[in-house]
Amino acid sequence: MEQGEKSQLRARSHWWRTFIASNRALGLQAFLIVLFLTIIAWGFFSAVNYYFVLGRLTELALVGAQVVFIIVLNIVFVAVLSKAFRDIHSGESELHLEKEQSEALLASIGDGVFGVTLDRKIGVFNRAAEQITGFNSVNVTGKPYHEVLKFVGDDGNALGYDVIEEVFKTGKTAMLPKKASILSRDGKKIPVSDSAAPVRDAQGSVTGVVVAFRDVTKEHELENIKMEFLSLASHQLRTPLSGIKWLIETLDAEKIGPLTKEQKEYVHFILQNNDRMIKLVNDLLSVIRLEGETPSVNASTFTLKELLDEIYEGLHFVAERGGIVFTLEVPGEIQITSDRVLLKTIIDVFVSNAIVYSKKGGRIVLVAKLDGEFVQFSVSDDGIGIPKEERKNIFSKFYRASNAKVVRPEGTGLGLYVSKFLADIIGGVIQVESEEGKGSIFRLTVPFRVNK
Amino acid sequence: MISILIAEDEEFILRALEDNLRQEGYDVVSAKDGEEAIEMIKEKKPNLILLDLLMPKKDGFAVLEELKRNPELRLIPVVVLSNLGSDHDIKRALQLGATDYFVKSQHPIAEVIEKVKKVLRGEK
Repeated sequence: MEQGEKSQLRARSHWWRTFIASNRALGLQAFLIVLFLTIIAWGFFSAVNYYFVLGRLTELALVGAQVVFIIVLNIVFVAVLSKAFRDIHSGESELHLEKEQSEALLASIGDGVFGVTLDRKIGVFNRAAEQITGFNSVNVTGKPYHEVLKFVGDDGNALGYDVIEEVFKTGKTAMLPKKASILSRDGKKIPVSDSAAPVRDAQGSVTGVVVAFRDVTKEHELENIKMEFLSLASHQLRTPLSGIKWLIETLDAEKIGPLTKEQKEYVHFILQNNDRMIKLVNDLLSVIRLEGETPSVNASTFTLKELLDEIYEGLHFVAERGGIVFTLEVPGEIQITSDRVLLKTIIDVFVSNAIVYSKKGGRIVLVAKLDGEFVQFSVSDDGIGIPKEERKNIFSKFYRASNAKVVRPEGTGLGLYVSKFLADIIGGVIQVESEEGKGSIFRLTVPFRVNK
Repeated sequence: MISILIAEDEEFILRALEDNLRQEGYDVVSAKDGEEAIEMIKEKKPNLILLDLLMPKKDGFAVLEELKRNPELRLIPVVVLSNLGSDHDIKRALQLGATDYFVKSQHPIAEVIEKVKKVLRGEK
């Protein structure tokens, strides 16, 4: 309704502007024509009267010719003048059309869009932005953006990071952090996802920032429902699974009665499959927990050797059982400050994967080394490797490389997903190098010191 | 005879526990919900309680709270067996006075039986 009125208003003002502009041109032309005709007529009639009374016909003819010349000149003059007016006018309306079109385009975009000028004031503010935030574009344009538009985090506090200033500073496109909200006019938190991009002039310098944002309330609700469902399902699944486990264990321990060799074998198969199912459900639950609440960083100071020894203790038996040689390379006593548990979890995943996807007689080396203000951990193996075209997917939830599925059908595809998730939390970066059939190297680079 | 009360609403889990504990020579009684558990504990005064958390009528946390408030019952050791596995739940149960906490699906039944024997011998 409101929208319809607005476009009507726009259309009407357009019509008026055209009318006035064209009449101004017409009026001037008419005035000039009348003026010329009056002068010519006046001169003509006085000349005709004069020569006619005197009876000098040659001069009379000459005056007639002059009049014809002046009329022709006048016609040419008027033609040139009116063409000039037409040109100016059509240029104006082309510009006008372009403006109308970009306004219409901006208005019809489903995402909220606003522009911030170099002096940090709001330039454009489109209709979707009005709908999401409740602000009226007429009231906010020209105001400093930080007075009007407030982005807040999950806890309702202002974000420590200003995405718009970031773009002005770096000249690069930037994104809001996950779980950011914008405060609407009535103070409601509206979860949004957004990106801010620089606007440049012909010389390439940043003259403004355009922010596009989207209301993600619905997505958040859906995500919550999904998480609740998964959590409930996992708990409900665990109960029968643990019941089966304990019953079969009791059977296997021959507490109910003796079993034949074949019966025992069967019982083992059931037990193995059940444990596999339990592992899957547990992994699912841990992912749900991770995504539900971001773990906080508990930084402590420890030596690289302590950390690597702990990882070695936990996994070298598993490696040996598979006939794999697992060794460490640690520099001297070097202390770092980071979250020990999260670091261990990430590296454990690398090493466990290396063990599972290596053949008998394989070698795994875990190396820690300093690299400026960073520490780099790398786990290299000579196992099955990752097919090139699948490498980009390995950090996705539940993704498993085609050759990994063959070697170990029961994997859950959650290990590297969790690693990546945790690495982000402690400010780490994971890199992968791999060649199918030859082996892989997983590197984790973390800051030497993580803030508590 | 040493007696153990199991508060557990899942029949097959109860059966597995009962069979194992009886083989060890314990006198085993069971309750199917929180209210029944409290009544039976008051009546039987068992030497040890195996307590599930998600039960009808009264959950395990409430049972634990009630036991620890009762001077006659507060010294009976309680081992929690639950499929709730979050740190939050584990901490809460231990703070309420549980002796130990097992996430059922993560431990073999033999481990639970070992723990029961240890606690009854007075070891932690």
